[in-house]
Amino acid sequence: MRHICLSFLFLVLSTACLSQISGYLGKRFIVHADLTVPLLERGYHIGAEYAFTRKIGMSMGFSQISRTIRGTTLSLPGEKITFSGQQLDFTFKRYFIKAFTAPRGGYLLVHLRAGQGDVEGLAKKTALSNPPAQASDLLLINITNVNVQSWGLGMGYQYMFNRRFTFDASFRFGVNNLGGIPDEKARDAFQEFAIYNQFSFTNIAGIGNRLNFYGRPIGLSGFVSIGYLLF
Amino acid sequence: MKNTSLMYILLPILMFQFGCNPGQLIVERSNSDTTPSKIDKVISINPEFTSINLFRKNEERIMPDEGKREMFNQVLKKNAKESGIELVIYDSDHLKVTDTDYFNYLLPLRQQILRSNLSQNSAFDRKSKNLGGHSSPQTWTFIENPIFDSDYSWLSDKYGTRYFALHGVISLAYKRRALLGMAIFFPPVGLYYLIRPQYRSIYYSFLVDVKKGEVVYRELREFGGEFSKNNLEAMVFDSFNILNQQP
Repeated sequence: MRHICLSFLFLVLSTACLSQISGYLGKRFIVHADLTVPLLERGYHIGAEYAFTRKIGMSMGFSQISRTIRGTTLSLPGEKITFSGQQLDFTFKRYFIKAFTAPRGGYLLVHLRAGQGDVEGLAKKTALSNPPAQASDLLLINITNVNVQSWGLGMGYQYMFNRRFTFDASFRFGVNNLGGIPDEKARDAFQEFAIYNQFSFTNIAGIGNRLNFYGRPIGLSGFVSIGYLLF
Repeated sequence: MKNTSLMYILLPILMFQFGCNPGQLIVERSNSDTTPSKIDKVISINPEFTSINLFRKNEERIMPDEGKREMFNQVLKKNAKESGIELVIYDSDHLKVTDTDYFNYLLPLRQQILRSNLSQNSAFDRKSKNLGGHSSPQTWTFIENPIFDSDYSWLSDKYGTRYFALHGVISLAYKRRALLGMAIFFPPVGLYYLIRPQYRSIYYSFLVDVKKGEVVYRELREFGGEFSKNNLEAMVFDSFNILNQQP
């Protein structure tokens, strides 16, 4: 991860001398913060975006989240999962409105995210298709250093206002992968809980998360962030 | 958690509504042999801001917008200055009694420039130049610059520059298509479409060298959306920035 961060930094510095790319009013570097993370995941997210060319931008961010998801009325009472951890994310943006230059306008994105955290809570042991389970079927989950990866594709729009401020809204379909849980039962219980309760580990998952893609939940996520054009 | 699901449904719809519109950017310019490396001063003749609203009655459809025109003038001046170009604007709203040159020479020159750009099909060099970076718009280089009447060459001595420009904006509002489908499948969006027109906005600029009687740069930008000061600033800054890049 450290190598990726350093590569990003060197790439930014090496392309800063490309005079032909005007950016928005000559500025191409944005620092931003995601608003959905403090609102929905009790954490924070900070990041930076740089427009490498007239059409390509890349964003890197760090988030710290602590999130508790309680089971729905259909699941067992007391069923809940808390995830707390740190994540790094990279987003490649391809801006497509030709009249403007990056980092302004609509874009398509590829999103990669990786992180580590702790999971604790109670989740149902048995599969969803089984007859209604009893409270004794709840499995205590307490696992540390869980690896999380996700990637997604989507699109968004970045607005500018007051010449310096940015407002970025995007959505993306993502696949989440959970690793590092040696206990298979705990892993299955967690996966099932995630799918059933529309919970995505790394994103705020929506309707799509009921689907299960080769054992990995896929979800539709929305992100809204504000930022400041530095230079 | 359930409450947030609505956001995830609405967000993609809004994105497609506002985002899926690549528009276009066309830049055509003279080759490096005939264009100097730096343009210091440009005279802009009567920048125009025209709003065409097809939602209105016939006689009110084409409306010159004075307020927006003033804003457009300010944006032009500000961004030209930031790009290191001194822009002097001569427009019909700020004329003095002594400004007879405007009607005698500048307005006919403006008509000449428009006529020459409309009437001449130019051939372009096959080696078009990328504006910077992967898959970005390209500039097209004239093999021979479009020409116009050379009787205006003396203006370069009087105004202290050989470069004269036309800048303009056309904002078009019209009814949307596919209203019925939207009304059936997404009633709130369909209703919104009925109330609010669809916009297309066009920004254009021409730059001519009056000493040689040649068009050296022309540009057209178009996107689906309403003009705002922010949109305009983004385009005008980029336009002046390209102007001072070596072709």
